[in-house]
Amino acid sequence: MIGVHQLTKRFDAGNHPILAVDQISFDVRESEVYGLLGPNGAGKTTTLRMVLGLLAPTSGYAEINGIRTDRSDGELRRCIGLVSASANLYQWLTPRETLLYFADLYGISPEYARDAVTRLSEQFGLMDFLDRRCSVLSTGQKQRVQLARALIHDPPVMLLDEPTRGLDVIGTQGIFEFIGHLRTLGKAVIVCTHRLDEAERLCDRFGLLHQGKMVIEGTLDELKTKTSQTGLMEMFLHLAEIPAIVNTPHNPLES
Amino acid sequence: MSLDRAQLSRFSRMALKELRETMRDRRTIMTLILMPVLVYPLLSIVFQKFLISSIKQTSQRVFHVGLKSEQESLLLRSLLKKITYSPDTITFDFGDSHDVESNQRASQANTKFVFFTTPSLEDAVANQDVDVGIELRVVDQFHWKGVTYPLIDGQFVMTGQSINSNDAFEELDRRLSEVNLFMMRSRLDELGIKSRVMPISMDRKNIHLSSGGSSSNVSLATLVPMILILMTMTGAVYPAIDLTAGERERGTLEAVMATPASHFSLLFSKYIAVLVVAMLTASMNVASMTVTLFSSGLVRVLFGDSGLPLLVVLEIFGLILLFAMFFSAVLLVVTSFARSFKEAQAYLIPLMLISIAPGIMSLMPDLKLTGGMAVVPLVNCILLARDLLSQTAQLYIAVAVVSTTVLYACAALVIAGRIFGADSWQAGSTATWSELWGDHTTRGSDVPTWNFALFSLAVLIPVFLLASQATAQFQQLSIVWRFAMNAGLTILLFGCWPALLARSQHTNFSRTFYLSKPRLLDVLAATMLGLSVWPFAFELVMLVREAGLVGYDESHLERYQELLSSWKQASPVTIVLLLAVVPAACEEFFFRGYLFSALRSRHSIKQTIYISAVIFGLFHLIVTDFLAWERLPSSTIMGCLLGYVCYKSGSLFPGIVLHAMHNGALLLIAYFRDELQRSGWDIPETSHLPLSILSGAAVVTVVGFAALRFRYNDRKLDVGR
Repeated sequence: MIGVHQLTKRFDAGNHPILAVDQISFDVRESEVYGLLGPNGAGKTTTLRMVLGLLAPTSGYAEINGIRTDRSDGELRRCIGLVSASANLYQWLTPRETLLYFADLYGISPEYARDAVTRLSEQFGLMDFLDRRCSVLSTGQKQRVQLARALIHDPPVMLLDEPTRGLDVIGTQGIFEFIGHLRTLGKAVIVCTHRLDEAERLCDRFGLLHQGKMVIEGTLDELKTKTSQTGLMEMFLHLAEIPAIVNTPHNPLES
Repeated sequence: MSLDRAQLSRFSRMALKELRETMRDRRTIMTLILMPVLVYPLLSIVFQKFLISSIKQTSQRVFHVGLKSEQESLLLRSLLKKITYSPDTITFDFGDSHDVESNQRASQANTKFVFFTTPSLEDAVANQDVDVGIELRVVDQFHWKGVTYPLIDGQFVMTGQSINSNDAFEELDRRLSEVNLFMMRSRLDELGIKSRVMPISMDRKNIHLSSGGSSSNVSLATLVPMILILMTMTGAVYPAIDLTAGERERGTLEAVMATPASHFSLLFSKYIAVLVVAMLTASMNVASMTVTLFSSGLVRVLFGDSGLPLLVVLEIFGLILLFAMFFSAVLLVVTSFARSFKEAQAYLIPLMLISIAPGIMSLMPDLKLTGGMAVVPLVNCILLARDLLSQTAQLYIAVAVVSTTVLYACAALVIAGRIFGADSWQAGSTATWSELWGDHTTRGSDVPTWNFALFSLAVLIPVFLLASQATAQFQQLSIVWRFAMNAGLTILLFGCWPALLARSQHTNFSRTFYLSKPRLLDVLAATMLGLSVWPFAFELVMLVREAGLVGYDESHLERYQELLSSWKQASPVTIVLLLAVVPAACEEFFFRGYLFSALRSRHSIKQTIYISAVIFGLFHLIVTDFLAWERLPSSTIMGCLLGYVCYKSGSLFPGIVLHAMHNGALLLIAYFRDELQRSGWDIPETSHLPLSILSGAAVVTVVGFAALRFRYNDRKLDVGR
């Protein structure tokens, strides 16, 4: 469903061009949760933005159902729902107004949008604060509204960029349960997170990014075999030492 | 691009969301309600204090009084001499009748009248040569205590828009009334006469000052639209920042940009919200200002006794709407470029200062709203508002102001839409200028986009007019150098400017400017048309003039004659090269090249020809400092013909030949008018051409047109939708 092919993004920051994403490739199928993992600055968010078509790739491309996102006129975005850690809610609007506004942006009819708002409000427990201004909501409530907003148009593809940032344990648990639910609905999901324990439990496959490169990719078992590590946490710690390791002729992550 | 009802309904909901978000913010409400409620009463207090202090500063007030004849002057002076003021008393002296009253109005002791005789009291008051005019007619006489007194009827001529005029009128009226009262009292006491006891009966005629008067004072009425426009700007600033840079800063923009909604529709919904808030602010300001002016009595000082007609208020309101449309778009250009609220504020401070400067300039009373001024943003709106208030606005100038301001607003929106583009949610001010000019959607495509053509036009027209006026200042240069400067300007603006835009958009030069090699037959046809259509253009100008639509007046014709005589200093080759060939080539490069290909990319060929021709016609309408309406139909039809030639030939060059030939023919006829007249070819300047010329030209035109119309191997323009 989602295909990423040699995707590269270079930012021109004056005399110091930054290679944010360097020829990464992976694919995500229906009913699959793909964990795009890596330390801060690895290029996860930039990759998601290119998949979404918000950023034009320097080279390579991403496609959804065979349609390149950089050549789509925006219609492809109807297939994608985005939950971003950096995104915020309109503080002067209520959750209901926010959801209806996004329904309009996605071109959904008002009747369908009202039904969707009711359905999602029940699903995410928004009913108690549906008509309160977003500025007075708690972090957890805001994140639930964000999820509902991303699903207002019922997209087959979900891109979740650190959806649990700032949430407590219970909130995080709820979000990951929901991600599991998305898989049962047949959606293709890419999730970027630092909650490695939850990711390990939930994701079907993983891609570990470091300094814009896809260092390793596969199922958890494949990753364990390739890295000789017992879990994602160990792999991550290993990843942090990569500059020293990748220069050695026998880099285990490249084998 | 057509919008169905569902799309319109969706868009209105989007705009409503933006409005709701803005209006729920107390900062908007502060600007919207609190500012107007506080500002105008405070301003009126300051204004009144200023007026009072400026009056008190004068130890002795001198009023200039105009009369039509020396006899009337003597009569008035003799009447006024019968009353003597001192700080404490008023003494009446009518022969045997004397009276002394205590002076309740001590200020009158410091008043002095200076008398002038003038043939037209109205003109003298309008030009503020005198403060008040008085017309006196002796209609009869009466005897009292052995003395013969005249019975006088008369009229004051004054203007309610001048404080001095008002005061002079009131002072004289009071004094003459006192004469009446004194005599009435005396006669009633002594004689008990029941018939007319008031020997003097005066009424007042209030005349309106024209904006074109020779007043050296700042027109106070200009302050009103100036303040309104400034307050409208203030109202639009906050929502513009909040809905763009503010949204980016708060992190709400990314999710919106991830939706399929077009960037332009998102921006336009924000534009509508900014515009509505700006207009609400304007409405609040108008309401608060009206209440303040009426309650403080300043309305009479500013607008005279007639006050402010409702129609004028509505016109001013329409003008503010027009200005708000323009300024909101400009604000969105600036704020879309900023990443944060603070950055947007930093950009807007210079913009506000730049906007205020021409506004202050427009307060100058001698600044007239002419053709050139009608295209200067902001100044044109304020000057038009001033003329509307003084009820001296001209319709065609108003049309020019409205159309150019709408054009600027559209161009600003196009730019704002571009900045508010794909990377706006994160790039903001890190986006480079090349990203702004470059068109991502058509990068590498053949022709320019329509919105860029619109932008190029919005820049080109005012710059060309202002630069033309600037070059006209170099009167000390020889005529050839002045022509060369104009030609250089034309090359820069109509040649280099579209070329630069085409290059920045990476369009195909050959297809953008139709640079393919022309066929000989097309060139010949264009030559025939170029040499033969000028009589019809000339006749059309004459017909329009006869219909009463005249932009030229006597002074323009005199200037034209002077210019023609100065042409003789240059050779005809130079004239034709600099005034015919260069403008023809450059104008074709822009109008039938850049603009035409941009239009053709989204319109049918007929629409393309008509739209480009109308723009071409409008461009020729504006001449330095006036609007030459008589040129509009002929220039527009010429634009149609040139567009048709471009379409049929598939090349820009035949059009250049036609245009240059047409210009050259007209110029050479003007240049050699005397010689032609001596040879028996009398081509009149202000009347219809002889039938022989018209019929000969018609034959050549028909042949030339037929050669184009019925060419067997039609290659036409291959760029289309």
